[in-house]
Amino acid sequence: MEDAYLVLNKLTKTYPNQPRSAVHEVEIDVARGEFISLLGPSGCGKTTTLRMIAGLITPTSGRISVDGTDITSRPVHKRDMGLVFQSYALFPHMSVGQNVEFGLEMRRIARGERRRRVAEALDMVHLSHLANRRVSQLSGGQAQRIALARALVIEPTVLLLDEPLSNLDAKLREELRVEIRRIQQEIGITTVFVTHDQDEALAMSDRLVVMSEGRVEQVGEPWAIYETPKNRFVADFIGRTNMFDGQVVGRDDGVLRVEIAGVGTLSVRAPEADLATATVMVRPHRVRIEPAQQMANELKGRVVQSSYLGDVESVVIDVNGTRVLAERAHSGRPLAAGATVGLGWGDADAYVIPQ
Amino acid sequence: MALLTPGLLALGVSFLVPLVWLARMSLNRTVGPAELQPAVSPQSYIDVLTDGFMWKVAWHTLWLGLLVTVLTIVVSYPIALFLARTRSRLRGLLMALAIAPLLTSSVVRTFGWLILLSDDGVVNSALRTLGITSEPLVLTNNVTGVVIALVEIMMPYAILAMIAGFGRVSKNLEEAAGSLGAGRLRCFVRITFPLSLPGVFTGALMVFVLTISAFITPRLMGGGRVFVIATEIYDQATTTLDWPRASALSVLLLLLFGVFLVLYQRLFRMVEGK
Amino acid sequence: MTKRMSRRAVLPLLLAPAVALSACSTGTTSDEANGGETTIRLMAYATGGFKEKYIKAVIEPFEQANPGIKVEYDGVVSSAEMLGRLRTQKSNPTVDVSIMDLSVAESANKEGIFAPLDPAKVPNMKDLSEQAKVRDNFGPGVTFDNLTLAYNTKAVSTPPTSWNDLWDPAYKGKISISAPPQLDGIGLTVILNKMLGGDYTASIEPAIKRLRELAPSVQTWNPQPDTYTLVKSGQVELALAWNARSQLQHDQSNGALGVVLPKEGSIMQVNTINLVKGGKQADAAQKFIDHALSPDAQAAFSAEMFYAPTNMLTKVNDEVAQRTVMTPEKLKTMIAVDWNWLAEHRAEWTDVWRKDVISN
Ligand SMILES: Nc1ncnc2c1ncn2[C@@H]1O[C@H](COP(=O)(O)OP(=O)(O)OP(=O)(O)O)[C@@H](O)[C@H]1O
Ligand SMILES: [Mg+2]
Repeated sequence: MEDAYLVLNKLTKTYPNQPRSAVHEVEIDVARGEFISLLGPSGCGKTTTLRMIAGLITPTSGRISVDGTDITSRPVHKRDMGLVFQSYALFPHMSVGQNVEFGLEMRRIARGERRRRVAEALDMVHLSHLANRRVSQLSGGQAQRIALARALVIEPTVLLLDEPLSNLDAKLREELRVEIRRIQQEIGITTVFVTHDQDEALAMSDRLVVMSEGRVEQVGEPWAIYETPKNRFVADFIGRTNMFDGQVVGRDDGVLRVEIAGVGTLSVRAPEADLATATVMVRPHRVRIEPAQQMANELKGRVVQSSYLGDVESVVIDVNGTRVLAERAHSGRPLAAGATVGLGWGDADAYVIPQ
Repeated sequence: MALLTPGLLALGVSFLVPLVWLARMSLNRTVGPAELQPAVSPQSYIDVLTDGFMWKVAWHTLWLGLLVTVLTIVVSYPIALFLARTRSRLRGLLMALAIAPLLTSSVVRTFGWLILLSDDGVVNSALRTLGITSEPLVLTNNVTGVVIALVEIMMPYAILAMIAGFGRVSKNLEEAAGSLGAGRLRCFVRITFPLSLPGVFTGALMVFVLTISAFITPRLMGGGRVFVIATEIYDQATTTLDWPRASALSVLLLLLFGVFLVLYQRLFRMVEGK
Repeated sequence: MTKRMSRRAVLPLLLAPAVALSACSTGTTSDEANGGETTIRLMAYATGGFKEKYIKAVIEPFEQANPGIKVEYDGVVSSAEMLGRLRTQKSNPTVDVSIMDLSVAESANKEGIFAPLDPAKVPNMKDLSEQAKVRDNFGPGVTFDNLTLAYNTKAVSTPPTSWNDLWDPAYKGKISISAPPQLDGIGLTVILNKMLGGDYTASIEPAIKRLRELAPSVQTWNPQPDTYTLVKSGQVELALAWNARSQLQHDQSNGALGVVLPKEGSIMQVNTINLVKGGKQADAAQKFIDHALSPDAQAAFSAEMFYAPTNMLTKVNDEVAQRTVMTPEKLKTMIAVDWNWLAEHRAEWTDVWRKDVISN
């Protein structure tokens, strides 16, 4: 990326006495003003990466630069980065106002301006009325908003958030998601957000970084990651999915024909490639149950289980010993277990995962 | 409540009974050299409170208590802070090392110091060998020796109490302060130290109370020159045999503890900000 | 949470003085008398070899002569602690006989802890020296001891001869003196006052003035673990000490500790042997007391431990006589002391010492 603002270059961290690197040659470019999420299973190195950016962990090798300046060996307190923790990390011996003011004091900013900026920051998170509260008297949501205000008031170059919403309940989480995104866009700050909640990552980010075992698996916009995962791991990790492994038996006008043992031959649109075997992926919501018109792929199966979720119905269907996930919208009465149903999807609904 | 009963009973027996006995004894009278006469008389209290030397002893005791407390806390604080924060696998071992002295009696440790600090002990030998002193420093049989030994004896208590009170010190908060632009020193002054104050107060109170009631070390190390309330009580109880006076002194010392406990709680609440 | 915890942690601390004091008062319980035998319990010093020597020289011969009576020895560190224990068991004593310092015994006599002896049952009482006799037939003196100077024979080439040697600058920082309320310091005050021509019942100002000059030379006013250990190890070179223990330590240290009775004389300390009031074995107890006061027992114990006998009929050999005050010349130099008067003024003297001697 030419206009990269925050650049991680072959960033690696190996903890002492650990056989494997916690983070291995991670390369990420973040554009100015971009909101990027680090997503991955527990222990994949998200926190380690974020803390290296913040300056709290020294990389074993690799470089970090901001706006063209190498900051790899710059100490934390000179990095000018806003940090928000899962545990809020508000100073319990200071009032809300003093917490927000702390970073400005450290920057030796004059009193009057400090006041003004604290008021602005509190206003931004709609909590001006809590300035004199003690930290112990805040709710979780309020505390995290204050933590955000405290991190932003210093006008950092980059905002770093490590699972900031994990300690909150579902409803608050969603509310704060929206708010964080709103503020981020308002001030246009470059943001790195760590989460293991895919919904959160998909909803908030300009781009996602999917990590696994210390390595970057894929970087891309949310839809691209979802629709065109680069490998089985990403496909499996993001969203729910059906994957079928089979032999390529033919190619015809951009449509690959793949023979799946026990299921039959599936048609899938795929770019030109000389493949002998292929993994076909179909997202459950693309699978039609009892399709009205004819479809490129049609199967018959028996309903194993159906879960009624309100807006959709999630169905597990057994097709000759292979389990297929499907979703039905506006379903009305859910399907009964044991019922035999027809399934179908178009050749463009499926995707061949690059090997 | 039912679960508490045995505990309360034990407390009653081990705490209240001696206390009541003490209070009762303090009202008896001593006639002649040491004859104990049953009475209900405030004479012992009057004697103690009007004795100029006793006031001097009390003042000495407080002064010694404060000095030892300050020195102990200053020396123990970095150790306690390190132990509270370290994530090293050696933490358990280091912790055990720090409090291991508690396994030996303070009599043994005081005698140890008596040997180390004597004219030809390790300390004086080292000073001489290094050419720092030519004449041995008098480090025993005076208040210097008492202070050195007491500080060492109190350190494990201080360390344990402080670690217990360092609950609010957290690496996260220090990192947050760092990210907001606070260097190491400012981070310590503004975040770590204020948050560690409850531990410091608990440790200080513990050391202070243990010091002003310390008897063995002032007695063994003091060379008969260091007079504190506890040695005074001991002398009255076991040499002069004036039990009412010894009891009155004990009751007054208890009251003093009470006063400091209340002050401590005030201070604690202030620091905790509740 | 922290607050509550700290309060709980502090509570036991408050107990310390209470427990310390009450610990002084817990007496040991007596064993049941075994099988038809009469057992009497003697409470006396546990320190400085007294116990072993007393059992060997006095108790064992008594038990041989009286097969029906066993004597159990209950060793206690000091006279004061003995009185403390006896006070707590006043209504139901488990001890029958106690050997303790004269002035402490006098308090016990007054408090009704001890009972007067029956002269008919303790015939040896009549042969005691005047200084050993106690009013109203209460427990009489059983041993005499006296203050001496002990010195380290390796460090000191010319043994001291006079109390004035304490002021010899050669001993600066190498002197140990047990200050009042210990009897050592009280005794030294009496001696110095006498040397300076004063009467201790009138004023001790002369002695105090002289002691104040001594203060800078004194290493410790409270020798730990005790004077004799410090002298033997060379930690101090000259010390105020008691004759009996010094003589014993001299022998046990192969002469590392030397003993001198200064030429100006000394004061005598008296241990009395007392019958505990309300004891169940009063007859056997008085039989034992009589034995303890007999010339044979007195001579045997003197030979072992160098306490001077109190029974005037006691025959001691020359060596024992030389190493105690039992020669007529030495006895002449002993300064008369009214221990009961001193006990009354002990606290006062202690204060004067602390203010005017030690604080310097
Ligand atoms: N101080 C450390 N010493 C050794 N190994 C560590 C240390 N900190 C983290 N690790 C290891 O490094 C790997 C990455 O850890 P990291 O905390 O970055 O994971 P994460 O992706 O943030 O996980 P989570 O979602 O659970 O927070 C893990 O295997 C972890 O066990
Ligand atoms: Mg993490």
